[in-house]
Amino acid sequence: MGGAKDISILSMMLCFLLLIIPVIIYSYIKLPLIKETLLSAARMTIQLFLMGIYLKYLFQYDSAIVNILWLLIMMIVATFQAIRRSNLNRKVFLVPILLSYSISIYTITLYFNRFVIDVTRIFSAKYLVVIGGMILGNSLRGIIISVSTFYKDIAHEKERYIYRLITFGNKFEAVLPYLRNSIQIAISPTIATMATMGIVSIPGTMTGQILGGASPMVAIKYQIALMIAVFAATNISIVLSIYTTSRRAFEKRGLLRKGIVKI
Amino acid sequence: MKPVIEFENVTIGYEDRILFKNLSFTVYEQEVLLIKGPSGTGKTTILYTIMGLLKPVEGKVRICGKKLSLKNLPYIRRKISYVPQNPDILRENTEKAIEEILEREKKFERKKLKELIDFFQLPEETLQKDFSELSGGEKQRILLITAILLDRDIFLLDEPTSALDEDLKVKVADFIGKLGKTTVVISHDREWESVNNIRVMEVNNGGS
Repeated sequence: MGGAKDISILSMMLCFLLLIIPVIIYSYIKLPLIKETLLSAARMTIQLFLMGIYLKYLFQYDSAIVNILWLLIMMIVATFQAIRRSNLNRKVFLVPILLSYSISIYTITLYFNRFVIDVTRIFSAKYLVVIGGMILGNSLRGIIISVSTFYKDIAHEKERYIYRLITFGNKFEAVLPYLRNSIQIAISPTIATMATMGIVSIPGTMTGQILGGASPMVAIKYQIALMIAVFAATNISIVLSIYTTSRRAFEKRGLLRKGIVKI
Repeated sequence: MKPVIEFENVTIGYEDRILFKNLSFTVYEQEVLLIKGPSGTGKTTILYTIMGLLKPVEGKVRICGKKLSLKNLPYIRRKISYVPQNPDILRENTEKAIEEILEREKKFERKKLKELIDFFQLPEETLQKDFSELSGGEKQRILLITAILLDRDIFLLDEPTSALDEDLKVKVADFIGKLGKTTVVISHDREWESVNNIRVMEVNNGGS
């Protein structure tokens, strides 16, 4: 089977025409989302075309070091953007989250490449950048939600946290319910997605693979494997992020530092 | 009697605000100290200092004969039972929550718990309810009962009877007073003043 059928420029323009429908609806019900929708669609187009260009060069050049660095740049930009949009203090959280995120993404992606899809060139752009990029894009939201829930809850429930700290006598026991809750809140949507996958929709990776010529059975295996990889990467990143950030976020005597989260 | 909590010329506060300057007091073994003063003067920060959550700006604090250093914190905290001002502390089933706390120190005894539930005039079904369903006064009594069963040497109680009616305030204050624990209690309730051998410390902004 060959690759996916190309879409001509005219056809792309016809696709953009579909945006007129939501714009008309927003205009009719006076929903102030028209500018944001058009700007986002424009950004997506420019960003993805740029991605197409750099991926082409990455595939051509295909150097392990460049690929590793490229994935790192993607993580830096993603983490920076996500923290900026969250209620977390950038100075405190950027480096530890980035560090945790990198350890998790590199480990899971390389494991995936070596043992799951069984390729020999595990640092090849086609596998490291593409699969790593997909895992990082799908796990970051969960990490930021989890870390910010964890610290926001402790800040909100100062007396409960102090009670646990004194009564149980150690920080791990004191933060345990907050850790449980933050993981649950961040991970529940992914668990729900896994449970309903294949019932009501055809997931993105499968669609891409089938259009690219893969058989549905191969596409399904990739989809399952990637979902599990995303799930594992998110969990590892959350636990590592909370562990590494807690060293900066708490005072030595156990109280949360001031200004850690905006509440 | 042995001194258990010693404050010597202690200045307490945060970077931007000093709450107490040259605060000195000693609480001896089995003694009950009642801290009184207007709201917002920082009485709770005295308890936070005893628990080692705040480092004094100046002065010496010794708990059970030990300096309040980072190294000694785990030892000191294991000596303390704390009841916070906001009693909304436990989650889910009340009995399970109490058991989780007490079992870690192998101190969970259902019979004793039931006796205290009776004595503190709590309805029998309290233990089966979710803690969030209890009233403020019921929550306070459950936290006090947990502190009593934990049986640690020092009791730090922050407004522990504010939501109780007057008869119960007297009963609870009298019971805690007779426990023989070194106790520091912050309260606006007059009922504490009639506890045997209680010592009252009035604090105001800027000192005591």
